[in-house]
Amino acid sequence: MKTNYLLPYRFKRVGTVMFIIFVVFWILLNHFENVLPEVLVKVPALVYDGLSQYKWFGIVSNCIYDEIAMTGILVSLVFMALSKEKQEDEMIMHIRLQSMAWSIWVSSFIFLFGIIFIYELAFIYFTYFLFDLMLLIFVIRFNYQMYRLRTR
Amino acid sequence: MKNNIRIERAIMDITQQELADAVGVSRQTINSTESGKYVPSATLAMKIARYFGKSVEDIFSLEESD
Repeated sequence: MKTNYLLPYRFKRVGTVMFIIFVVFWILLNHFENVLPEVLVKVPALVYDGLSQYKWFGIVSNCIYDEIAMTGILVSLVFMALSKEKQEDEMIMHIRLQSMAWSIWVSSFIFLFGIIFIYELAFIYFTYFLFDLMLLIFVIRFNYQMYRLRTR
Repeated sequence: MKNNIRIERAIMDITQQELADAVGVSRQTINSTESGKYVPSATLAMKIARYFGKSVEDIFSLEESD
């Protein structure tokens, strides 16, 4: 068999549970102040803001909750997007490819919309989750197509 | 691409699920193939033909639009 770059089926469920947990964590962090005590950790940085210009290779003091939340959301989406179905076959692989193409189209249009209509700090926040958005749109589209197939 | 899987199945009196299990795909794949919504790979087409004891071209045939 050819390599299909997919994780075993159980990662789908693990990813779904993780996704819910980390999204809740992210919402708590960003919409409710002081839910968690601030913990500053010294972390190695490839590039960081030196205010007037970018600085390369340094150590910065950073509260790592948002890194944890964003890593968790990304990993859980990858688990959901790239795990096998219970019974994997060539048509499912075909549906997966179609859904990926669909997701790239839709998220590109959303990105384009953002480039044109969203400005300043809001644009930075908008770009935070663009990649996650593409994965999420793919997951929704693929599972919708699979649902339609099963109920046909 | 046209196919007569449904007819062959009727002759052998087997369900979509039985054919699917025999060739190692999901029932939905057989269903979609029968109704022409999905065109199977050469490998799957050959497996299906072999299961019915026929050649691929006895089961599958090209259409004008192909």
